[in-house]
Order: sequence, then C-alpha cells, then structure tokens
Amino acid sequence: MDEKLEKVLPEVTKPSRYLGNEWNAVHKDHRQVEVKVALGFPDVYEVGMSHLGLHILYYEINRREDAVAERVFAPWTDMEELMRERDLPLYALESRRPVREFDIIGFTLQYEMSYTNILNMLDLAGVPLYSRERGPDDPLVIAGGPCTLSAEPLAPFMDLLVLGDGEEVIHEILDTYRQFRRQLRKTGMAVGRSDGVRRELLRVMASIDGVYVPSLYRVEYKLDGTIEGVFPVDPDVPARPRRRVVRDLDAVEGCPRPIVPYLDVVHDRAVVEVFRGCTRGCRFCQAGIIYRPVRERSPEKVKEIVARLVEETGHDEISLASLSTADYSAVEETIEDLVREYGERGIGISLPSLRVDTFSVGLAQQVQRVRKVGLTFAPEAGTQRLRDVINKGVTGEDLLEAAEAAFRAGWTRLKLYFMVGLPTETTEDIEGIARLAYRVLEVFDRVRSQARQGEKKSANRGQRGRNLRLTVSTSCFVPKAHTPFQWEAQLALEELRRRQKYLASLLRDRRVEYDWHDPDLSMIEAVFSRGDRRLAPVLERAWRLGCKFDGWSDHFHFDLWLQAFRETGVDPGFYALRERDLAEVLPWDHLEVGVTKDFLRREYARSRRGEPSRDCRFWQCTDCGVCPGLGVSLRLKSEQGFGCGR
Amino acid sequence: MLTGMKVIRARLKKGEEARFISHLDFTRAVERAARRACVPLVLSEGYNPHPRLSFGPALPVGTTSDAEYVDFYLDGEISAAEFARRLKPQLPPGLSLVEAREVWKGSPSLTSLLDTASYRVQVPVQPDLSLAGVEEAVQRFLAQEEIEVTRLRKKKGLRRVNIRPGIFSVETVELSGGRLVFDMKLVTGSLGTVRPEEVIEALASFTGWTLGKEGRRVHRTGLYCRRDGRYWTPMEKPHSAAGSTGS
Repeated sequence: MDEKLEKVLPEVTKPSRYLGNEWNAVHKDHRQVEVKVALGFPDVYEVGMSHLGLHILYYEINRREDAVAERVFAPWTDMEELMRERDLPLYALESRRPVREFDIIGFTLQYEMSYTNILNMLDLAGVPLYSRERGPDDPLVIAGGPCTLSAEPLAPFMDLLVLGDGEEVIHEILDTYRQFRRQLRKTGMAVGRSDGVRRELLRVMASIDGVYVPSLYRVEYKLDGTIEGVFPVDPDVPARPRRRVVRDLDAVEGCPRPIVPYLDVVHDRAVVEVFRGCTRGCRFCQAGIIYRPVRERSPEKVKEIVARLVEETGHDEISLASLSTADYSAVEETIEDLVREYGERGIGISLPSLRVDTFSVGLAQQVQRVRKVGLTFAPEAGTQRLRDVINKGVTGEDLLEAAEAAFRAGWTRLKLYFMVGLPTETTEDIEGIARLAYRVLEVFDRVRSQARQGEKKSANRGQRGRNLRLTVSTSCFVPKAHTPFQWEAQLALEELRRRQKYLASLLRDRRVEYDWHDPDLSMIEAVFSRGDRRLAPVLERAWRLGCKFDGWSDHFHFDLWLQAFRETGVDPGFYALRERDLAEVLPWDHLEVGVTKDFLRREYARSRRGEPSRDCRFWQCTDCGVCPGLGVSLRLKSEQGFGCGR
Repeated sequence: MLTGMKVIRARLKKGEEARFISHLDFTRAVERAARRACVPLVLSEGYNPHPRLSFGPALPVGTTSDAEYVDFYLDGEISAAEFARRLKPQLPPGLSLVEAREVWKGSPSLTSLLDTASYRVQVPVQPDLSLAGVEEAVQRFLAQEEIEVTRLRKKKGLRRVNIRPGIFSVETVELSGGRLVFDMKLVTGSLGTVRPEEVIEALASFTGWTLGKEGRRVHRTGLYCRRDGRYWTPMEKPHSAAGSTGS
C-alpha cells in the first residue's frame, strides 16, 4: 500500500491531501481497538477539512480507548484515475489501511450534490453499493448530517442513517456495535456471518434513539406516483425514528484539538460553535427547522474552548460559528473579551455570517479582520412583500442603514445575496432587487461626498478611497424538506433563466457585478432534496455515466443527469416542478424532526397571506412543537437581552 | 529594529513524512508551530498583523532537506536554547529542529545571503553503467562551455537557458543496486536557480543514458553563501580567515 502510494503521490496535484500526518491527526494501533471507523467526507480534502462536524466526531470517537476514527475524502479526479489504474483501493488517511477493512464507514451528508461521490467512494473502496448486497466482511455503511432527514434517494445504499446531532449518539452506536460483536464472539460467530446476523445488528441499532435503518421500512406508492405510506416491517421497529438533540452545548466539548491542515483549506481557521439552532423562521430555510431549538453555549465555555484551540492549533483566526452569530445573546461581551485576550498576539476573531443590520456591522468593525474581504448581506428578496412571504425579518431600511454603517466604517466591497424563483415572485420582485442595489449605490455616493467635504474642512487631504464594488448574487430557490415551502414547486428552468436575464439587464452599472447560480444544478438539487427511494437507480445510473463532484460547476454534467433520468424512466419534473397537496404523504414524513407538520402548514398558510412570524427568542412561543416533541428546551445564556439591538 | 528585538535563525529538517508539503504550506506550518510554542513573535504593523518570519529559498514539492532555514523575529528575552526547547515539540511530523542560533549583528536576510544549494540526488539507471564510466562522462559533461535546458515560463512559453554557470560542482558518490548517487552544488536564490532535475535531464541527453524518473529522489543537504571560494552556512558569518564565529 505505502509503496504503491509513494509512487502515485509525486504525480498528483496537492499530494498533501492524501498524507494523513497533519498536526493533531490521531494514529492508533488497530490491534488495540475494538471498533474502527472511517469518517468519509464526500468531497475534496479542502472542503471536508473545513467542516466542523468532521472534527467533532473525530475527537469524540478518538477520545475513546476502544475505538479509532480516521478520515477519508473523495480523491480528486487525477488521484482517482491513478488509484483505479494501479489498483489502489480507497484508504483511510491516518493508517493508510483500505477503508473496506474498517468496521464502520460513516459519511456526512451536507448537500445533495455530493451523493454521487458517496457511490464513487464506496466503489473505490471495494464495498458493495447497496446495503442488501453487503456481506459478512463488509463494513457497516452509515451516514449523518443534515440531509439524512430527507435522504430517501440514498436509502438503499445506507445501512443506517443518524438523525440530528451526532456527538452523543455516536457513542451509543459504537457501544452497541461492540457489545453485539462481543456477544457474537461468545457464540462463535462473526458480525454478518450470514444475512440474518447483519440484519439482527441493524435491528438492534434501530432501537437507538436517533438511528434510522431504512431497510426496516417499506414504502408503498399510490397509482398516481405519490406515497401511500411508509411502514415499519414489524412492530418492534420504531414507527417514527426521532432526531437526536444535544440538550446542553456546555456538556459537550466541540473539538478542542482539531487537525491543522497543511493545505490552505476553504475555512482555514479554528472554530468554536457559540450556539446551535436558529428560530428566525425564514420559511425557505431547512437549517432553521432541523437544528431547533436554539441552544447557546455559555460565554465561559466558549472562552474555555477558544483557549484550548489557540494552544492546540496555532491558528491565527478563531471563528465564532453558528447559523447567525449576531443573534448570540452574549455576543458583544464574548467578542470584547476575546479581542482583549488574543488581539495583541495577532490572533483575530471572525464572524462567519452577518445579519442585515447596523448592529452586525458594529460587530464586524470590532473584529476588523473581515474588512479585507468585504461584507455580505442576505436580504434574500427584492421587495418587502416577498420578504414577508418568506419571513425574512429585515426591511429595505435595515439594509440601507447597514450599508451606510459599513461604508462609514470604510468598507468598499459589499455583496448582496438574493434568491430567484421564490414562491409568489413577480416581475416587480425582480425589479426590487435592482432597485435595492441602486439605492445602496446612492448611499455610498452620499457617504463618500460627505467624507470628502469633511476632508476639505479639516485640511487633512487623505486618500480619496476606492470606489464601491457591489456584487449582487442570486441563487435559484430550491424547496427543501421539513420547511414551510416543502410543498412548493420549483420554477421551471426556462423561467428561472428568463428572470436571471431580466435582472442582469437591469443591473447596468459598472460598479455592480451580477453573478448567478446555474439553474440546471439547482434543478437536480431540487429533485434530490425532496426525493424518494425510486431515485436510487437514477443516482446509480448518473454515477455510472460519470457524474461526480456535481457541486463543482465545471464537473457538473446536466446532459448526463438527463440521460440517467431517461434511461431509468424517472421524471425529474415529478420531484422538482410539482406542487404537492398539503395532505400528501411526503417521503420524509415518517422521520420525527421535532417540528410538527401542522406548524409547517400554518407557516405555509401565513406565507400565502404575506404574514410574518416572529422569533420565539424575542417574542412568544410559536408552537412549532420541537420542545415538547423532543423533550428539549430553548437555552439562552445571557440575562442582558439578546444582543440584537432591538 | 525595535529595541529588544532579536533574530533567531533556525535550521529545520524536512523529512520523508513532510516531503510533499509545498513551500507555502511549510511556511504556514512553521508559523503555527511557533504560535503554539508561545515564543514571543514580533508582529507586523497594520490591522491584519502577522508574525515576522523569513525563509530561505523554496524547496520543490517532493524534496527532502537537511537545511531549511528560518529567521524568527522575536521580542524580548529568550535564548536560542530556550527557543529551541519550546519549538521542538510543536513541529509537525516530518519537520524537526536541528539547530537555532541568534544571528550576528548586521546579518543580511536569508534571501540575500544564500546563493548556493547542495543536493544529493539518487537516480535509477540502466544496468550497463560502470562507476568509472559515469565519472568520466560527468567530467566531459562539466567541461562543456554551455549546457542548455528548456524552461517553461508562465505565459512566455519555452525558453532556452544556459545552466552551466550555475553548476558549481557535480560529484559521483556511488553506483550500486541500479542507483546512481550524485552530490551537486547549484546556484539558487536571487542570482537564478538551477534545479537538480535539470542537471539530471541535461546529463541524460548529453550521455544518452536512460535515467529513470520514477524512484528518483532529491535531498537538499545544505544552503550556503559562496564567498572567496568557500561555502558558508548561514549560521556562520562569512570572513576571510578560516574558522567560524557562532553568534
């Protein structure tokens, strides 16, 4: 293995993707552990290493004495080619042992467009693609991450799926696996010696809260192609597997000892999660549902983790991560303390996402480092009417005030992020995007002319400053499972393109740059984000035709995808373009995410009436059902209000 | 120079495990190790301050080295020994600290000081060569006035370059087990750089030998300042008389 690899490495781009000996990487003797887990990230190294969840699970598993976790990423195309040519199986980075020798392969499902990479990695590993084809010596293939809550297209390939937060349930899975194997050993059998044993293991696993074993459920369809129902194969199997939720983020460590990559990865910094969940209630947002409720980490715990991160990694940037960090109730005091503690040592604090308001700009100014790269705001829609439909709780005034604050503070690069094709969108909404952009330009000109007058008066003729670079970026709306828009149709491709073109024609100012996402890609994403098990053959076919790294626009082959649909006789329009009846059984309805379908229906109705809903952190309970449903509760850590400036 | 600021020059080894780390990634890894080691790094001015470190000439990916020099700008009282004690355990696998010394007053930066690199190169060869034959051929090779190689320049396309002035020496060390081992000293840095691979390619085309690409290994054994016919390591201040001054 090592010898073959040594010959391959000089021939590939960025060989350090494939080494596995970075700082903090854990190397254990496989003979000393009972359970070996390969954590698979179905994208290239630089993307996977930027993902906090991978580091958390790596840490959780490796702190156990009886288990080892190693990493494996999708090899880049040049590496894959050489691996196939020279019979080099997919291997785990740390031990360089073939992945198929591990007990468990755990993939993370972060986005639908990585699904073909999973099939490709299983194939490279020499593990049978379908769960039912795996035999005695094959590893258990499991997956976690946000997409598991609606990953029916992957169901036939997965032995089990983990729903929700992984850092606690992973231990139960490993304990169960170990116990099961010990028992088998007593009776003189190996795991999966026969089909029956493997199935028995899955049954035992299915009883763990947060574990979903797709093969233990039968899907029945109606004549019109919709789902009749999803039924457990027998009464012992839980009817509705539940999402797991870590109740208290202070009780878990995050990852205080993350691997420090050599390569310049996508997010090259240490990360501490300040809270999990978001209840802003944007109706298009899946993360806003499937990570509920909001659970904040205490500022003390945050600072404790940061201290360890600084000591263990040597990073010069610490990111305070969450779905919306300005909403952290202790955000100001935490940033202040961290800047005071680490600023002098040249260690900066960064905020990954900004809310559209002056408060956020103030925070950004406080941490300074974002200045270089410019600020991004996401108003999502061009008119107040449409922002009310999607429940994006910001106004045009919020945006202009935030932009003004940013310009006054010296930023000259601004990015505005919108979606095209949102439910009820009209021409006026598209024009509203352009109108907002032009008003931002006006704000900039006003701020600059005021600044120039000030300069003349003070006789301090400094630099004139750079001109504004405003980027307007639009993605195509993709309806997602478990959201109030899960019943919506996606706009047809031609119409999405027409609206993008129209917007482009309106944005004719040399200071404005317009970039948009490929609608073809968004359509495939829409198919798989609300798909059912009948899409599995399409996925396999697409992969066999050569689809992989679909999330990379230069590797995405729409024509091959269409061919895959054609050859398998599946209509993509059924999944992407069809508006669902509110009473329809959806492919993910049997999974208990916590938030009730009734709440989603209410929110859907409110969206149609253009009625906003409020955030339970700042107002009253919206009765989404998650707290009573999963036996959890909202956890805020500061008495001083919510740092939202409202 | 700030009062109390000192420069400690370190020599690092880049071993097998780290040979695929690019120069840029190497610099980041050293910077992070220094931060973990809590040595008092001097930061640059500006709102994005970063530690002041300076590095010698870049090492090509795939090459190991005994001589990667780094200047650390430090603030405050820390001895070279204490510096070494703190940095050593923080270096990632494959990187190790060989020595650290405070640089002499007025030492030029590594990039302006260093102009020569020495390499040990191992090349798989065809079986019919003899050591004497190789030595004789290398002599004839070096006796040429010009040795032209083709370089691919970004955007500018191919260019013919005479590398003979940049080859200071090539010695044949041994021929055994189908491998030929050379030691060579080549120009590097601001005067231009000749890569060991270029010398091997030129030698192959001069002699007509088949020199295998796969299994070829390059190891940088030293970096020097060439002055008065002598090669000085950056740890010693170049001077006319023999002997060395440490700090």
